[in-house]
Amino acid sequence: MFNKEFLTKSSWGWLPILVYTASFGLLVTSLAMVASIDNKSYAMYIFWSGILTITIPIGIRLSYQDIQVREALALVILAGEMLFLVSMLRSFIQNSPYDGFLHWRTASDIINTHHLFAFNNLLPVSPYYPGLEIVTTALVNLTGFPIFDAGNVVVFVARLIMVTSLFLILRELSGSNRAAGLGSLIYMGSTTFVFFDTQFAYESLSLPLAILVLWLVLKHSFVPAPQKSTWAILAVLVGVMVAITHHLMSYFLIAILLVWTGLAIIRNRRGLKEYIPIRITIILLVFVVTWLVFIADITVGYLAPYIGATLTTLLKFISGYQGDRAVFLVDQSTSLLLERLVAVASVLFLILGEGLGLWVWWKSYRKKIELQSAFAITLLLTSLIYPLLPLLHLNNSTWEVADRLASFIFIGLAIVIGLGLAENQLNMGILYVRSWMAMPALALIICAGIIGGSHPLTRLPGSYLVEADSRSNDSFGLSAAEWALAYLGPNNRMASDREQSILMGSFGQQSMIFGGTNQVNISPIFLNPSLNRAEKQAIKSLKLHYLVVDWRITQAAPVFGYYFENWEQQVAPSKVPVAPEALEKFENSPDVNRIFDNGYIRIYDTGGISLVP
Amino acid sequence: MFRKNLDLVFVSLTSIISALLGISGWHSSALLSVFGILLVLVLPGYVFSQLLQPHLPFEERLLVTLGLSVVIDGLSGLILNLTSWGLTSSTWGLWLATVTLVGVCFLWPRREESERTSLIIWPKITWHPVLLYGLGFVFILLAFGIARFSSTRLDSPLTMLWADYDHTNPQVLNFGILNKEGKTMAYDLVIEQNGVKAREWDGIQLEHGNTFSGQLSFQQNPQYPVNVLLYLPNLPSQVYRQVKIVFPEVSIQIQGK
Repeated sequence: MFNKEFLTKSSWGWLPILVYTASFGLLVTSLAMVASIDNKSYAMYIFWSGILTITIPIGIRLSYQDIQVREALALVILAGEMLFLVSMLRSFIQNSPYDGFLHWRTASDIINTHHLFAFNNLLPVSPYYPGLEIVTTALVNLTGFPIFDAGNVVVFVARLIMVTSLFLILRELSGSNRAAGLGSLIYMGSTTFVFFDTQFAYESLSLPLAILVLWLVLKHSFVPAPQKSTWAILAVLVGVMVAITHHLMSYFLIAILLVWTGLAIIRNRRGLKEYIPIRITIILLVFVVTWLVFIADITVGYLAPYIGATLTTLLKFISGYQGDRAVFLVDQSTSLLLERLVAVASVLFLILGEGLGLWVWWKSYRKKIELQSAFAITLLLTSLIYPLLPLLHLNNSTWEVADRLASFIFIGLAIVIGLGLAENQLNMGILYVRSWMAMPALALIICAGIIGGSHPLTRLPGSYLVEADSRSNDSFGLSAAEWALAYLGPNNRMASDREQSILMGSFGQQSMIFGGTNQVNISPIFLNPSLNRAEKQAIKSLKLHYLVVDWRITQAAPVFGYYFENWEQQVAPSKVPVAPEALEKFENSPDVNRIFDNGYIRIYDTGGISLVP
Repeated sequence: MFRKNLDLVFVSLTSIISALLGISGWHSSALLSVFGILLVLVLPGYVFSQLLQPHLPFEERLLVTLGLSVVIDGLSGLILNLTSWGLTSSTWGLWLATVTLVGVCFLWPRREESERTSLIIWPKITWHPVLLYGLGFVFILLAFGIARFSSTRLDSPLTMLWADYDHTNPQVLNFGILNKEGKTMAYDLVIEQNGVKAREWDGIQLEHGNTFSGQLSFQQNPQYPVNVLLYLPNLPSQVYRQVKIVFPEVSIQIQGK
């Protein structure tokens, strides 16, 4: 039925059959999620087989030399969107990951107030970068979709923009459909691709738009003069949208454009006629700085600790520091040996692939003018930063920056390794490589990206776990949040643990006070064994009207390392469950009322302490 | 002329319908939601990409259309925020439809002067690929069907109990029970003051999703904590849910006024 003639003469090549296999892979991942809910030990193996069913047949087809541009692009889009659907399936079963709720609140505030820039206690910087929420709420207003559903539509489109722009950039530079296709698949091995960049958060829109800007500037560099202004306008407009969507991504974009401009200027001075994207870079730089200074000055205080920690960590590594967390794993205690091996093997394959790609680059450099361009060299230099990423992942305070950085570094890796893989056969003495031989390595890289970007316990849905992102957001927490909004009204000052705070702050519309965002210290109020003068003073000074306590924190240690704020270990160790006596103190205090109980979640009214003059 | 601009006729009609649906708030079905998606994520970008770059290959047209739509939405949001109406269904519908139709007005005469390039050359449709795409679509639907079913399995049954004194009349206690156990439940409710029963309700029958609520007035401001205790009739010795209220000494403050 589907013979060779059908496969080769069909105008879309293998696309129909690969749509079939990839959809089957998605179905397999959904079965893995069911098995995970039933606590089956084999659930993760089914999940991996689903992921490989989606990606590897596509990888095999992309390694064919005669693949046409339309088919290659369609396959890259297919892989990218199917991996997005895997993430969406998980959220569909068990709520959004942590960041999604932070941005849900910003979107909800826009819908309720009809205006931007309302204060968001959960993530104060979010309202000042409202790009994602503007598009999402426009969709909510015109379709009636709930916020998360509208967000999924926006992120689906953003994913389409991302993989298409990436493919076109790689094809423009390499001149090969195969290199562009395989390079795009390598990009999907980035730790943020499957789960992080698919959640309802500003990176999920800003990264695709930033890659689109790079493609537009590249296009601007070689179109004939009469068309140049149009492409420049498009690049600037999309760049402006990046700047109003996400702080860090706009800075990374500007950094890449500055390096590109600098390299182009140097090469021009050497007599090479090179395109310099200086005007676009300057316009975007001015806009980004203007937005930062006049609209989003809060960003400085928000980012400074992260950037400071990243620089300090790099300096510490130079002096022999070993790091305070395991590479690719959030928590060493839950590490699985096999996953760790896959992750380490993937790093080795990526470095090997980079070496191979650089060798091919060197070999084809003189023949191919595009590879000599300042942009190509910028991406090559970006890819050389890759070995630093595992080091930054070793530190608790820098792994978040490392994850965002990886999104850009993998563009460089994609072009370099894509070039290497696209060579039909490489004969380097004893090493004789055909592109299809790289498929097991590609499988490892994509799996390692997922391993690095998700905790083994939260990768798949399942029963409740203590302080474990989406696995902590169950019906007990949600019902308490909905009750609080209905009966207490919005914007009451409250404090709770990490997970209940985001539910209360989003669906409950409450004004949550917590350490990470508000730079205050709430953990002693909950963890100290008694409610004495110091704790009461903290409640009073923070004007906390309600405390929300999930009693399940007395049953298990927190999966993500802490209950309230990451410095709470100074009050009580987070590696053992909270002592019930610490929470019982609220029951015995005459100033505190227990006004709500649903079995696990209790809401205490502390107005008797905080509202008394 | 009309045939040459068939896509623009479609864009214009869809924009007007989407705007009307947005203004009326009548988008209850998934089919009608498609109009909203098109107006937000496709149509404005399509018209302006045609205006800026009439000749593009399909993949570049797709990219510029989607990218420009998102940009137009973002910038429109900033502009609408400056108006007193803000970002509402009506303003979004009117604004995006107006922007799109203005683009069409500029594009239409330009099309008269030049030949429009074909958007995409669709391949000859044969049944083999259609069958495979169809099967793929069925698999995706099945995957989401399984997910939907699985999500309901993670819903834990629960009962909520709450109580608080009335902040406008502090001698009154408001209380309520909400049954989310997934079945009809029977409850016994006891209100105690200083360990003494002040009132009780036996055999409260509540269907799933229903609420029982009430008020209890005290003769004077209660001096001791009031406990509201919920029991299941088959476990009378075990408190199922409990809340505790200490009434404020507001009566004295009120007298002082």
